[in-house]
Order: sequence, then structure tokens, then C-alpha cells
Amino acid sequence: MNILLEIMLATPFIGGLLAFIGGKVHRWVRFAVAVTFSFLTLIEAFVYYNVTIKGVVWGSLFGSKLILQTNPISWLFLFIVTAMSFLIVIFSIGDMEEDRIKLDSYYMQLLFVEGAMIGIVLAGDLITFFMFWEIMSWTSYFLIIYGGKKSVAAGYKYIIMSIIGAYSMFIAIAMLYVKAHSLVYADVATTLAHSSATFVVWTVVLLGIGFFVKAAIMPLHTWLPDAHSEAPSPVSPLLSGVLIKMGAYGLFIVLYGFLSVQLAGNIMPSVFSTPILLYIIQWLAALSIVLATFLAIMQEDAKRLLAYSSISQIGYVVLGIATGTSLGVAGGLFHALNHAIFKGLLFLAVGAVIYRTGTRNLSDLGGLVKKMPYTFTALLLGIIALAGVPPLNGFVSKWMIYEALLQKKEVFLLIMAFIGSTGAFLYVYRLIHSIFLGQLPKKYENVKDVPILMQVPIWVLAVSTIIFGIFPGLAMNVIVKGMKLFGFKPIAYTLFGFPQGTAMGALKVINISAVLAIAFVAAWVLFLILSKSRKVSQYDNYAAGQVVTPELKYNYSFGFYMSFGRVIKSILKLGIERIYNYWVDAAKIFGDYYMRRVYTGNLETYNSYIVIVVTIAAAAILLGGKLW
Amino acid sequence: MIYYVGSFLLIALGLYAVIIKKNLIKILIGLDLIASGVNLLIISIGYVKGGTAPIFSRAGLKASMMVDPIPQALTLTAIVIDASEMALAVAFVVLLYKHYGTLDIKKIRSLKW
Amino acid sequence: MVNLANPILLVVIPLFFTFLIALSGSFLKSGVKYLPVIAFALNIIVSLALIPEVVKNGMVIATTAGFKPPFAIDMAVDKLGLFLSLIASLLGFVASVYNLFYIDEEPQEKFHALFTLLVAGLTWMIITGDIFNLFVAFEVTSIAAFGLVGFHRDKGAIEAGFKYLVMGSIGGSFLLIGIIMLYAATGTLNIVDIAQKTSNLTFQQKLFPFAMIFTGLGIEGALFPLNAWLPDAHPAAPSSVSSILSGIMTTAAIYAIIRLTNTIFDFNQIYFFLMIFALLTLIFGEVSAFFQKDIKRMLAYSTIGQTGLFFFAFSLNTVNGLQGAFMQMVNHSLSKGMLFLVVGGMIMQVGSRNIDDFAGLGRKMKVSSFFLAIGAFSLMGLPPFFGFWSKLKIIFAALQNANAFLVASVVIILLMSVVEGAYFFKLLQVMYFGKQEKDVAVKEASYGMLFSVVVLGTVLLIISFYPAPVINFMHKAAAEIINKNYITLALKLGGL
Repeated sequence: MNILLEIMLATPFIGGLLAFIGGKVHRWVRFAVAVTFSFLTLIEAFVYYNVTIKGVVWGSLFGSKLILQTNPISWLFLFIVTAMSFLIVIFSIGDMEEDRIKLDSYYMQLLFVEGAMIGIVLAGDLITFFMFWEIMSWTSYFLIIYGGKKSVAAGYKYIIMSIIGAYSMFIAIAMLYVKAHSLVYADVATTLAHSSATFVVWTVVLLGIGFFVKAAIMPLHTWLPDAHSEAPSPVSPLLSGVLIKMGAYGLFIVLYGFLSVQLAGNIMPSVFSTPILLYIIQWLAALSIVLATFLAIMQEDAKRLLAYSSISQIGYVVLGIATGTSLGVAGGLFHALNHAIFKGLLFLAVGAVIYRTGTRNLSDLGGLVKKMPYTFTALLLGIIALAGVPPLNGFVSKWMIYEALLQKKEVFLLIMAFIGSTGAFLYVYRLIHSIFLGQLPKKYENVKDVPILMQVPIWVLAVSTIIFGIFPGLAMNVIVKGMKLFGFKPIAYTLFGFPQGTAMGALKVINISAVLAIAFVAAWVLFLILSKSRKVSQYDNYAAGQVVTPELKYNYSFGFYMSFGRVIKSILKLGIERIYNYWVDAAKIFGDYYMRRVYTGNLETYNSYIVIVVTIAAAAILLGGKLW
Repeated sequence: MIYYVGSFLLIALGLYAVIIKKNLIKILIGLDLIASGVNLLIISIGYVKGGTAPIFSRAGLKASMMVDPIPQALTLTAIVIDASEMALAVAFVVLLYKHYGTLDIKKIRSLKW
Repeated sequence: MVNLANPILLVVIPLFFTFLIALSGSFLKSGVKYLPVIAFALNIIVSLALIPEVVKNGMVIATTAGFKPPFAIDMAVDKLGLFLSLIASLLGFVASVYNLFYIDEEPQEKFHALFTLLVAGLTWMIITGDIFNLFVAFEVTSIAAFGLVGFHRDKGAIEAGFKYLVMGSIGGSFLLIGIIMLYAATGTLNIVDIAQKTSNLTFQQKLFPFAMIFTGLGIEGALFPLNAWLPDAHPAAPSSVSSILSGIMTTAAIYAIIRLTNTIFDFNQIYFFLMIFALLTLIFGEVSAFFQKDIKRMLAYSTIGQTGLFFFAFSLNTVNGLQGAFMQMVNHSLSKGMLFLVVGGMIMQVGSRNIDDFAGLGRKMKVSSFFLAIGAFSLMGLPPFFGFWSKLKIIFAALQNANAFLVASVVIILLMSVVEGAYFFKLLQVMYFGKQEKDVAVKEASYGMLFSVVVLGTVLLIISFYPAPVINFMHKAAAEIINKNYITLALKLGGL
């Protein structure tokens, strides 16, 4: 059974190669192979449901064992990876038309990314982890730049930032290796337990930079809005839903696999009964939530809006994980799953709209509700989940995070989390309104709903938002069991929510849902009974004294939140990206004008370099080697 | 001792020519000066004052009076190498003059940075 | 039955073929181009035949002219020398196959003769056990390289060749001074013999020859600031020659420095100094490469950067550091050798060396682009390619006894790796996703040229996915060098 871990890791890589070779035969062979192998991986993942395997040695390098392992927490991420990949492969078949984009190696790259992410979550030592981390970086780079001209620049930014993050991790890993000569997780934990506080902090910070780049926590997020919005439609959900979760997974492993709250508390001061390191991470996450929400509100581009929303939502995940309490960590992990579901759904739905209309500019769209009703419904479920409204899944995990913050009495962070949630209403409303409601532009008169292959993944996700919303116990089953392995107190849960009598308040989503349903039905009935409205056409209206014609837009679609934007303008001006660009430009100028001009092209100069070296050597000889 | 000083002076002179002189031919002369200096250095290392050829069959010749033969062999090799290098260098100079129409090294710098 | 396991054959065969080519050129005409292929195929066979011997005894020593060392000139092949000469033969073979389809300019027989001589000299430099022979090999290599760099005889090639010649011959002179000073101090030219006699020399007495030899070999080995010829010469040379120059020449020169430093000059004080050289080489190489528009020039600067990297690893002076350096040498030789070959084929098709003209080649020259990507990934040190393992090893080794300076150098190395990633990814995205403005008919390179590329690429892929044998081999080789097994083995086997 343990050998299956290696097989599962190998499956997507083999599948990718086969898809590439099969693609030479016929495109349908390529599709079939890609679907089969991603499905196979999903099945294999289910073999490990709630199974803990400690250490399958698959090699050894420089005296450190290379290990694969799994536990329920790994499985949670494994599930996210494999399930999302499978759905995305299906969606890709519909979306990526043969003539539009060269598909030669698309599925290969897609499956390679999946394989690399599986490698990350199954890794039992840091070399394996780092290796697959790097593989994930460059394979996903190739996926991003499939999107055309603009995406190339976005991908470039992405890969450079990824490499920087990865090398930051690299230093930490090398430090650990030198200290213990073994990078197996358990050994790393022992090493850290016996190390000085400085060493621990450096390790966590250096590793953390790597994870934060991937998880796009501010101020290391600048690659994400470009990369997620410019990537092809099926790739964006993979990036947003799955890839950035790897940062959260890494953070979890470092904070609770290597360290623990007690250990961290012993070596550093605490604020709000949280070790200061965790507290700083909480603040970074909270800032991500708020700022990214504001930025999302101001976007005109549907995918860019969702990209900023991803930064904000991953902020919740990291905030939850960094609380250090059972409830908060469970909430964070659960939110990782939920975010994968609803953000995947939203990106796929927007992808479907782009597929039919060819634009993602919000002000160009509108009124598609009648043309694409299924997509509309799915997207509606997605935004409800994102905004954290019961009974859909976003609500439960956000509620857990709020509750955890409340228990720690961290009021500021709580307020920031609330702001993020409220802001989410603003931008998701803008999203659904601008695309589906309002006035239908003439050129989209003939738009149909997307083909069935694209509907299926969207609807699978849409149903999942309901399932995980009403039955949070399904996910808690895995999370709580996994967290026990990392030394957390298990929290009580039932299939429908959380029972009365524990430290937190009771939560039974089905009751809330029932109440909501009753209220909704009541309102609807009242509306029917008391209705004095009459149906009017969209053009039976006037704006500023003028009769509305199809040519004239009667609703705001550009600058939707302009007045709100004026309020928060001063915040948005703090361009982190400009700071980075400034340094990059400075480095470029320095390199261009000073460093590379050493090679003047003048032979005399070159010869004098030789003489200079000899002179230095001569000086060294005369001084008896005392020059240095 | 004078040989050592002389050889290092030759080398220094050659380096001076290579660095300061603009004319390609003078640079080549500088190279040759360096090579000659090195050759002189090699010879002088093996030289024993008043010594003679190391022929062991000759009667009455003590080992201390023999000149070390190895450096001389080395010098011969080095001279051959220098000669071939110079030949190649002169060929390059001819071609450079054809392409650039000048022998000024300052003007021959199309490749840089 | 000739005993093939004789290191002298590694030099004699290509030298013989050099003269054969030069002499038979007048009547074999273009048929001479097949002779280097035969020569290097034989060389590969000899190298392979040497493997069991070297593994069994640790070293194979061959003497010439019936004398015994230290009077005779000897060739000594130990583990590392064998590995490098194997790579040299392989690259020579592959590049000479490539030449069959690549070189159509006259005079062919001179090109092929010089080419064979170049690789012969490099192999000689690697396996020689005598420092004056090292000088001769150095000069043979240099003269062949001068000629080959100027082979195209256009404006740039002649200029680059001339500059290289001036700098190279100054370097040769310095190398000779150093060797002679060693001779003056010890009275012998055999490396092992010198090594035994240097122990009673003062530090200055050792430092002077070392400084001279370091300068001389540093010019060939592309150490900053002695490397100014390199970015001119590599682009100007025909691509197969660039591949050899970049892949083996710098490696061989650095190998010679490593060999001499660890056997003859037994001092620890200089490593800090060498490390600064290495870091400067790395920084200037990578930063300059970033700004290049000419693809071969970019690769040449990248060679400087890589040299800095493995020279840094060597200057750590630990077993692990040397192991990392050797792994990186192997990685660099194979990847950079391959990259120059690939790029040569592309330049032939596109007719330009400007990176912007390479736009869209990823679609038109699929195989070439694929291998270019693999080579670039391996150089950048991205997993699962071999460069990843060597970079891992180097960084691990550097932090072994970390002090503030070493940590800072690790940061510099990684920053420079980011720069390296920046320009290689730029190249890749231009190739795969750029739009070609000009409408040029671009075909895939000919099968013969692809053959060379594919052979190197396959070797690289094999050692990428099964790194363990190479890693273990390099570990043993590094341990041998640090423990000075070279001397004890040579004494045991009659190298003295």
C-alpha cells in the first residue's frame, strides 16, 4: 500500500508525458489521456482518506533521506489538488480550442503542475519539498504564459518572484541541513527545538518569505493580480484555487510541524497570548485582507477583481492558521478548502463568460442572465459563498476564524477581517451585476450558455459550496483528525456544525439555513401577496430626463464605485509595486552603467587588468600573504 | 643575479609595451619581449657560472660544474611556441589592417560590453 | 593486442589525427571532416577502457620514452581526470559530428586539424602529470583556439582572435614563469615530485609561483578580471568551437588550478582571496549576461558566471565544496556545450545572433528549443535537472562552517542565480511566445546537428534523473583530492 504513494506521485507525470505523446496522434487521445490520468490520481488520493503514513523512503541525497508521507492535513490539500485538477482538465477540454492556442504541451504542463503539487503535500523532508516546489514554479510559469502576449510579462514577474522566494527558502533549508544533516520533518523539528531563538526566527522568516510569495501575502503579492488575470481561463482557478494554497500548507507545516505554539511561546515574547512571530503573520494577513479587498473593489477587469479577491481570501486562510488555536487553525484550513471551491467556481464561471463573449472587461458586459442562466446561477452561488453568507461554505470557515479571534480578544484583527468580508459584498455584487444584470449589449444577443463539458465542473463546484456549507463536518472530519497529529486539542463537531457547550458558541448550519429558507420563503410570499408592481421592459425607463435606447447605457458600469474609490484613494497610492520597480530599475542602471562597462573593448584596458592582478599578487608576496 | 634582473626588466618592458603602446606591431614586439624575458629567466636558472655541458663521460667534470640541461630544453620548447604564436599574431595583424585600415588598437574596439 | 587502457593514447590519437588531417587535406578534400569523428570515437573508447582500471587502482599512470619518473614525462589519470577527459572526448566527438554539417567554409582541413588539436590539448592539459607539459598543453590549446576564434575571418572574429591572442600569450608567459620558479625551487617538473619537495619551502617561495600560475591559468579559466577576451571570443568562434571553449576549456583550466593548488601548494591562507575572485567573477559574469542582446555573447557571459560559481565552491576547500564544484563542472560542460551547439543551429537558420530574432523559434525548431530549455534549466539549477543537485550541494557546502562572509556570499550566489533565471527565462519566452515580425523560412536543424544535441541532452537527462552514481563518484574524487591521494597513489603506482 505504501508503494502507492510513489505511484500516485508518478501518475500525473506519466500522464503528462503520455498526453504529450498522444497529442501527436490525435487531439482526442490527448484529452482522453489527460482526463484518465487526472481521474486516476483523484481515485488514488481517496485511498489515503484519513490515513497516516510516516515515511516511505524513496531515495537519499547527501546523507539526508528523501521521504514521502501522508496524513489527514496532507490529504486535505491532496484532495484540493487532485479534485481541482480533474475538474480543470475537463473544463480545459471545452475551453481551450485547438485553433486558439497551441495545445501541444498544455495538458503535459497542467498534469506536471498537479504532480509537483502532489509532491509538495506528500513530501516528508525538505529536499523533496523544495524540489517539487521549484518544479511547481517553473511548470506553472509555462501554464501562465499560455495566455498570450500580456501573460508573458505577467509570467516573467511570477517566475522571478517565485525564484527569489524559493531561494530564500533554500537558505533556510541549507541552514537546517548544515545543523542536523537530515531534512526529514521530524529531525527538523528536533533541531529547531534545540536551537537558539535567533536561529528559529531566521529559519521561519526565510522559509516564510518563500511561502508568502506563493501565497501572495502582502507585500509579496505583486505577481498575483497580473498572473492570475492574464493566465488562460482554466489555469486561473488552478493558480488561485490550488497553487497559492501550497504557501498556506507550507506555513502550516513550518509553524506546527516544525515548531509548535508552546515552543514558539517559550523562545519569544507573546502578544495576546500569541508568540510575536505568529502575531506579525496575523497582521500581514489582516492587511492583505483589507488592502486587497479595497483594490478588488476598484477593478474593471473581472479576472483581476477575482485575483485581488484571492489575495484577500488567502489572507483569511493565513490569518486562521496563524492564530495558533485549534479553532482558528481549523478555520484557516477549512477556508483553504472552501476558497479552492468557490474561487475555482468563480474563475471557471467567468472563464465561461469569457469563452462566449471574448472579453473580461466588466463595463463591456451586462444582462447575460437570460443568455447564460446556468452560469449565472453557479456564479451566484459562488459569490454568496465568497461573501460568507450562510448556508454556503464560506460562512462556516469565516465564522470559525472570527470566533477564534474573538476568543483571543484580538479586536483590531477581527475588525479588519469584518471589513474584508463587507468589502467582499461590494466587489462580488459588482461582479454579478456588471456581467449578468443590467443591460444586454447588442453584440451579445446571440450568446448561448457554454457547452456541457464546461458546465459540469462549474456545477460540481457549485454543489460543493452547498454541501460543505451545510455539512461542515465532512471537512472537519479530516481537519480535526489531522490537527490531532500536530498536537492540537480536538474541537468538537458534528456533521452539521458545532455542538452547544464547547468553548465557542454552537453552530448548526442546517438550522441557520432553515431559518434563512423560511425567511426567504416568507418574504417571497409577502412579495407575491402584496405585490403592486408591474413588469416593464428594460427600456421603458428614463435616465436624466432622456428616454433610454439600447445604444445608451442607463446603468453605471464603468467606475462603479468611483465615489468609494475617492475615499480610499490615499490607501491605494501606497504602491508596493512601485517600490520594487524602483529597486529593480536602480539595480539595472547600476549593472548596465557601472558593472558591465568593465569590458570596455579596449585591449590595453584588458591587459592592464592582468597587470593589476599580478601587482596585487606581488604585493601579497612581498607582504608575506598578509594582504588579507 | 644580473640575469634575473635583466629578464625581469625585459618582462616589465614587454608589459609596458603591451599596455601603453597603441600600434599593433609594437604590442607584438612587447609580447615577444615578455617571451624573451621568460626564456632568459629559464636559462639563467639553470646556468652555473663557468659551468659546461653535462657530459658525464668526460673525465674530471664535477657535477657542480655542470649546467642544468633541462631548462635549456624547456627554452627550446618555449621558443618554438613563441615563434608559432608570433606567426599567428602577425597574420592577425595583417587581417586586422585589411578590415579596419588602421594599426591603432584604440580604434579596433567594435566588440565591447 | 594493444592495451587500450593507456592514458597516453588519449593525447596521441588526436595529435596523430591532427597531422593526418593537415597532410591529407590536399587529396582527401572535404573527406577530412570525417577524421576528427574517428579520432574522438577512439578517444571515447580509450576513456571507457580506462574506467575499470581507474576504479580498481584509483589511478593509471603511463610514462614515456622508457625513462622512469621524475625524469620521464608521465600521464596520470585519476578519477576526476578520467571523468573530465571522458567529457572532453564526448564533447569533442559530438562537436565533430556537428562540424560535418556545420562547417562549409574553406579551408576545411585547417579547421578540422585545429579543432582536433584543440581537444587534444585540452585532454592533455587534464591528464598530464608534469607541469612543463601542462604549459605545452596550455599553449597548444591556446594556439589552436586563437586560430579557431578567428576562423570566420570577418571583422569581429579577427578582432576577438587578436585580443584573445595577446591576452592568452601574456597568460602563457606568466604560467611559464610560475612553472620555472617551481623548478628553480625544487629541481623537478613532475607534479608528485614537486609536491613532496614543496613542504620545506617558505610561504613566499610557494606563493610566487602560485600567483604566476594562477594568473596564467586564470586567463584561460575566465576568472575576473582576466576574462575580458572571453565574451568576445566565444561569440566570434564557430558554434562548435564555442561549445568546446566554453564547455571544456574553462573547466580544464580551473581543474588545473584545483589540481596544482591541492597537490603542490599546500596552503590554506589563499582561499579567502580565491573566494573573492570567484564572487567577482560570478557577479560580473551574470550581471553582464543579463544585458546582452547577442545570444552567444549572453551564453559566454553566463559561462563566466558559472565558472565563478564552481570556482567559489572549490575555494571553500572542503570535500563537500569540491564535490559541489566538480558536479557543477560536469553540469556546466554538458549544458553549456549543448547550448552552444543548439544555438549554432538556430543562428544558421535565423541568420542573426540577436535574441529578438529568435522569436517564435519554439514552434518552428521544436527539438532544438526543447533541448535549449533543458540546458537552460540545468544551468539555472532548477529541479529535476542536474544543476539543481549541484547547486544544492554547493550551497550546503558553503554554509557548512558558516561565518558572516560565507552567508553573504551564499546570498550573492543566490541573487546571481535569480539574475541568471531572469535572462534565461527572457530567452525562453522570446523563443516560445514571441512573435516573429520578419517572415523568414526557418526549418529544424539538420539531423546530424540534432544528433549531437540529442546525445548531449540525453546524457544530461540521464545524470539528472540518476544523479546518485555521479554524486558518489564526485564525492570520492573530491575526497581523494583533499586527502592528497593523488600523491600517495602516484607513489604507489610508480608515478615517481
